[in-house]
Amino acid sequence: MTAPETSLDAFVSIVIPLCDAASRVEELVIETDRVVRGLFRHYEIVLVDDASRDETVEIVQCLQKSIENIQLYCLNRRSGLDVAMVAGLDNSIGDFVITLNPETDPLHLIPALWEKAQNGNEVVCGVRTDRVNGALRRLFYRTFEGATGLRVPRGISDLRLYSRRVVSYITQNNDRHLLLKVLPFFTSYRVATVDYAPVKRGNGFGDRSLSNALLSGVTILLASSIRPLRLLTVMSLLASTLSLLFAAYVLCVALLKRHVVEGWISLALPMAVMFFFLSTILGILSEYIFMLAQQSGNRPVYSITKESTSSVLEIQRKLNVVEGSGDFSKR
Amino acid sequence: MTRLDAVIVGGGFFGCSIARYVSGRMNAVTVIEQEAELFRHASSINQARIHNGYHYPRSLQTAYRSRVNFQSFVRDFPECVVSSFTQLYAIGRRQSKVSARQFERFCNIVGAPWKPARADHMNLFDPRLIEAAYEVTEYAFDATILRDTLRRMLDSAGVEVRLRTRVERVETAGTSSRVFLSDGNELETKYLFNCTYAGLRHVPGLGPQFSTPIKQEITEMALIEPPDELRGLGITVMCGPFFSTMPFPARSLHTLSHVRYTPHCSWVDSGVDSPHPYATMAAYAGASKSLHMLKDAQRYVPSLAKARIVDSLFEIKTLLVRNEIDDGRPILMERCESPNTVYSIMGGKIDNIYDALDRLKADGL
Repeated sequence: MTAPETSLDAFVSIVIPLCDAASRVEELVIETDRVVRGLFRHYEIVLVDDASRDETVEIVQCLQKSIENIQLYCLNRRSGLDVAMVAGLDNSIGDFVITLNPETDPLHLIPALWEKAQNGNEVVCGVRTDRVNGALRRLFYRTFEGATGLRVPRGISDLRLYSRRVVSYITQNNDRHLLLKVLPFFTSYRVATVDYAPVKRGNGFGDRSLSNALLSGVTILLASSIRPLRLLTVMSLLASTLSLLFAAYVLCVALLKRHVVEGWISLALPMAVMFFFLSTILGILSEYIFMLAQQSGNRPVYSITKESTSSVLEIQRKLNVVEGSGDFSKR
Repeated sequence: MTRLDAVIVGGGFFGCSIARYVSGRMNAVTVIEQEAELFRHASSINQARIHNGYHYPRSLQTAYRSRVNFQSFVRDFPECVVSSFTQLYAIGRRQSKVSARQFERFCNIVGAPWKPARADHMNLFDPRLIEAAYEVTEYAFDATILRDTLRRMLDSAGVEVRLRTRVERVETAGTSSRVFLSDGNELETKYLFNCTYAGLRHVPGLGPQFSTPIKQEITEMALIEPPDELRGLGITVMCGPFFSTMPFPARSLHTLSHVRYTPHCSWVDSGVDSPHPYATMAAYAGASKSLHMLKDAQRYVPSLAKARIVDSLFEIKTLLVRNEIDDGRPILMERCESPNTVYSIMGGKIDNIYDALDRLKADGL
């Protein structure tokens, strides 16, 4: 594919998190370089190492000696795909940022993402055809839309393209590592999708089990909306009202009825009063937590322990040409 | 053959200053420069910053000396000093090796003046990436004026300057050195000073005596046309993979340099037998990183998005291998005494010259 006209001016960052990828990182980087070199004039390949325990970092540093524009960031501890992705987004410098999961996302889709961005889309999302259907997924998307009022394309993956404006928006959120999957949909950016079937390169970031998927679904729901907390307040208020009514009923029985089983009043009344207090306390607490949740989250979610840059010395390949040139006035 | 008291190889700021200094103590002094003009390399192609210590919060020794040398330089070359801009030092919030509080303490310890940046200057920065910014006292120099000043000084001191001349070979002859020049002439001198900076290890015949390992680096500095709000400002973001933009008086533009993108590649110099660093640079085919620098810098200072990249300056930067791990920028001063006196002097910053001259004085020169 030939590069469109505007690609000459745009600077594009390609963010790829890596984890225990020593066996496949070389092929991945060479292939990525080949794809983006033909497509963009100005680019950087941002590799984020999620504390690999194998030689991933050493291999990348070795590749930096022969391939230009590779930027490597190493995280201090294993933090997962989303945090690594966020670290890459935070430190990328491009006008457009492309992210992808190196274990599943095909590189030949980068031109397709770019083409959609050329048409004015600010977010281009890969959609995995194997993730569109399923009862649990449908339940998640429906609950999510109900809780947040946002519409999200079914089956979206980590293969994305963002404009700088979207990246700036994402990096403003302290909980972006929890919400990365859905954050771009929080504002009305123009979104396009690209369908694809995943490839299988490895599983450095671990397989996504059902329990993992469920947990991350619950996390996204809770992190993207504080409506569940409001639900807690409402339930507490309801419970405390019911307790109050029950206490009143017990009192009425005590005053109006003659034959009451012994001990019932002294058992039921304190219980009703205690439950009233408990649910009132819970309700008030939940409101305060609600307020705290709105303001909190100023912790840094990662820290970078090391970075390194491509250092390509062309001269090593053409020593013979240099010898004896003797022209020192150039440059 | 011409008999001389001192020959200085290299017509940069160090070579010229040393020539001027020794001409007060010796009679026949000559400067040899291979280019058509003095100051053609690192003396002209650098940030034009007159360091006043702020740059070295992790090396007090360098910071102290820097403060002293700053005052001497401003006193000795007032016509070259450009002080008509505000210099800001900003502290990066992430990945910075120094915090705002540390920087303030450091400035107080070395006695470097600072005050918090004005509100309108603070607004230039993205507060998510910049922790604090300070207005400091630091100037730039105009390399063209400095070159002309040094040339005048050399002329009035009676120092001969031989341009477009290279040293082909140096030989020891009794208690003096014989210098064979590319124009066929031959000089005999008691003192020989090698001030060739990047070429330090590439003067044939001067190799074997000196062995301090030095590293060569191909560097790129972008020249930009700043937007109006940055015209009277210099900005340096400390202390990590950040950038600096400040006036470059010789071209009436701003330089933009970046810790991550300015160094293109480096190698440990293995001496005369390897290609000359300038030849290596001339053959270097790496693409410009100026856009990388600008794109990253405008995350910190959004108005830089309106800056225009005008040019890029490539130059060899020469470092001592031992300084890769710390902030220190000492000069390299090697001396070989028997039977002829040869000095090999290399400084990383223009105002370091005073350290070199002090050492020569201590040697009885």
